[in-house]
Amino acid sequence: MTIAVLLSLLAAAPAESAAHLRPAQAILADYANAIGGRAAWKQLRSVHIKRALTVAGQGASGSEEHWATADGKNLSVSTLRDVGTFRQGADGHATWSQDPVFGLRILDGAEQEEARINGAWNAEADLASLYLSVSSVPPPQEARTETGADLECVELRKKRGKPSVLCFDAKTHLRVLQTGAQPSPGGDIPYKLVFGDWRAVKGIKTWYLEKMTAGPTTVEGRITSLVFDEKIPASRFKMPKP
Amino acid sequence: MLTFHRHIALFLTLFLSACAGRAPAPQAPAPTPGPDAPAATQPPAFVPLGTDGGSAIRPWHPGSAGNQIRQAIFDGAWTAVRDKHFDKTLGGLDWDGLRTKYEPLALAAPDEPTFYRLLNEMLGLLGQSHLQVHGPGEEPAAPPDEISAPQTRTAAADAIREAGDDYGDPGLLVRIIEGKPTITRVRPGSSAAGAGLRPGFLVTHIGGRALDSLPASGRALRPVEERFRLRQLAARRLAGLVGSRVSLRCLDENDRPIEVMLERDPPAARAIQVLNMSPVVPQVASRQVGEVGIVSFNVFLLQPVLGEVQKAIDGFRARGARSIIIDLRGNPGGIGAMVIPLATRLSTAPLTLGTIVYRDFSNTLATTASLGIKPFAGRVVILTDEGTASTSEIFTAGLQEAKRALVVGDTTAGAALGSIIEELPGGAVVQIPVADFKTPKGASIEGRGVQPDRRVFETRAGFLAGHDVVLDAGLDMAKASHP
Repeated sequence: MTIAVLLSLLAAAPAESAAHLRPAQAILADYANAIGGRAAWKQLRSVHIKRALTVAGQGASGSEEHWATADGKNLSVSTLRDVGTFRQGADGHATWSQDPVFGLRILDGAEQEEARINGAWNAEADLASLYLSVSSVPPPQEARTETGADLECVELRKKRGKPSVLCFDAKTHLRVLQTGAQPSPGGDIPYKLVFGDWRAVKGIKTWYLEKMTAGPTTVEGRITSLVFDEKIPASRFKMPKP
Repeated sequence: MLTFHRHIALFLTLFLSACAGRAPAPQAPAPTPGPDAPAATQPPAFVPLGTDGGSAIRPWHPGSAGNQIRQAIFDGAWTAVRDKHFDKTLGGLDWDGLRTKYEPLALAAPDEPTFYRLLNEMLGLLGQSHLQVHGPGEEPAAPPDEISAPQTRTAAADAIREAGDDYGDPGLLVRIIEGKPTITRVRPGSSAAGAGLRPGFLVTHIGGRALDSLPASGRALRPVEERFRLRQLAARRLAGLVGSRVSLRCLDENDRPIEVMLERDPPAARAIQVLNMSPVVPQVASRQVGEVGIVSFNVFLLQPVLGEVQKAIDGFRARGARSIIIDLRGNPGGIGAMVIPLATRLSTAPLTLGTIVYRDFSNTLATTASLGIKPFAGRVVILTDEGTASTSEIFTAGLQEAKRALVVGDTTAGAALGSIIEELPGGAVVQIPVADFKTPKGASIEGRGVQPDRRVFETRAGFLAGHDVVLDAGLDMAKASHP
C-alpha cells in the first residue's frame, strides 16, 4: 500500500464518521423526551432554584438563587463568601448585569446573546429554537474519557459569539457535557460544564449537579431547592438603580 | 433556564494575584492617612502544631503516617504545577527529572522545615513568584525563651480568639533601609510603642534569630526581591498568637543595643480569609490635605476594601480635590479583579491595564462603562516601595503606561503573576502561577517590577527625624499640576 493510499484513507475517515452522526434535531428531540417532554415543560409557569456553590480546593464557597417566569423574566444572584455578589437578570425590556468588578451594565452584543440563551424560559425542551442553527458533530476528543459514556454531540450556533457544543449520553439521552466560550468585557473565556445527579421533579427531569471549569478553576453548583410554579412578584425582576 | 450563571466564570478567571499564600502576610497599611490609621494584623505562616509552648514541629518517623502525608503533599504540589502553571513548558525544565531528584530527598527529610524547604527549593527553580508550598510545621520551633501562650488573657483577646482571629503582632514594621533591617513604623498604643521602640531603630534579632540573611534560595535574588523577602520574614517572625511574646534585639538612635520582650497585640478588627490567602484585617484609610486626597489600603479585596476605596475617591471628587495619592506601599496584592473597578473610578476615557495570559486563553483588564459612575479626572500619584507587589503592581503598571498616574517611591517587588492557592493533604497549600501579566505594550512586570517616575531614597536618619520622604515627594508631584 502506498503512502498516498494510506493518506487518502485517513482523510476519508472523519467524513465517514460524520456521515454516521444522527441529525441534530433527532438528538435534541430525544433529549426533550428524556427530560419529560415538551408538554410537561410547557405546563410550568415559574421556577425558583437555590444552589450551593463550591470552588474546588480553593477555600471558597457561596450560593446562587435563581428565579424565572414563563413571560421571559429572570434573575440570578450569586454570592461568594467574603468575595462579593453578582446579579444578572432580564426584566422583559433589558438584560443587565451587576457585579463588583464591572458595576451595573446593560448587556449587549455577545454577552446579551449569551444571557438571553441562559435565561430563556423552557429552553431545555426546545433548545434548537434558541439558536441560529444546530448540527451534529463528533464528540470532543476528551469527552468520552471525561464522562465514561457514549456521546452524541450537537453544535449550537448563536447570532453572536462562539458556538457551544452540547453532548448527550447516547443511551439515556440526558445532557452530560457542554463546552463553549463565555463572552466577557475582557474577552471570551473558554469553559466546560459537566452535568449529573438527574432527578425527577413534577413530571420533568433535571440535573442537580453542575461542574464548571474555566481556566484553572472548577466550581461545583449543587441544587439544594427547586420549586416550580411558585408565585414570584414582578418586582423581583426590576433592574437595580445605578 | 437551569444552568447556573457563568458570570462566575468571568470572575474566577480574574481573581487572585497576591504575592503571598498563607505564609507571607500582608503588611499594615502605610501610615500616610494620619496617625489614627489602624494597623493590620500580621498572621503568621501557619498555626504551629504545638501552640502550648512545646515544640511546633511534628515528630518525624520514617514509615509513619506522616510519610504518607508528605508523599501526598509532594504529589499534589508537583502535579498541580505540571497541570496548571500558565507555561506548559515550565520554562524548559525537566519536571520529571526534578521529581526524581527531589522526591527522595524531601521524603527523607529529618523534619518538616527541611521537607518544605526542599519542596520550595524545587519549585524555586522555576524562578517565579506566586509559587510556594506551605504547611504545618514549616517554621522552625521558637526558642525556649519565647512564651507562645498568653499568661493572662484579656477579654478583647478572648473575644477575638473565639472568632477565630487569634493572631496578632507587637505593632512594628521592619524594612530594609540603607541595607539594614530598620523599624519604619510603630503602631500607636501597641506593645512596641509601649516598649519605647521608634522608627529608625535597627533590628538585629527577632525571636532570638538573627535577621541578617534569608533562607537558601534556588536562584540569585534581585536586590529589591531580597528586601521584599526580608520584610516578609520579619513580619512572619513578629506575628503569632495574641498574647504570646517575641523577643527583639535592636540598636537605638545612638546605636546602643537594647533587647525587649514584646507581647503580640490583638488585631484591630476581624481578620478575613479569602481564597486560601493569609488571613488579613482589611484596612482602608483616607484623608484630604488641601486639594490632595490620600488613600491607602493594605490588600486588594472586592469586599470590603473596594467599596471603601471607591467611597474615598468619590469623597475627594465631591470635596474638590484636584489630585489623588494612592498609597500602595506594602500592599501585597489580593483579588486581581479589583484593578478594573478601581481604574474605572479614575479614568474618564477607556483604559486598558494589560492582559492576563492563562495557559489556554487570555483576558484583557480594561475599564468598563458602568452606569452611575462618575470618574475622578484629576492627577493621580501612586506611592510604591519594595512591598508593593502583585495586583498592586498590575494596577500601577497599567496606569503608569497609560500615562494616567505618576509613580513615586521605590521599584516594586516584581512579583506580578495571577495565581490560585490550592489545598493539599495534611493542611498544606500550594500557590501556583496560573497566569502571566503583560502591559498593553507587552512588558512583563514579573522579575522586573515597576520603575517609579520619581525614585525616592529613604534613610535611617529620615525615619529617626519622623519624616515620610516618599509621601512628601508624592505631595510635591500631586500639587505640581495645581495652578
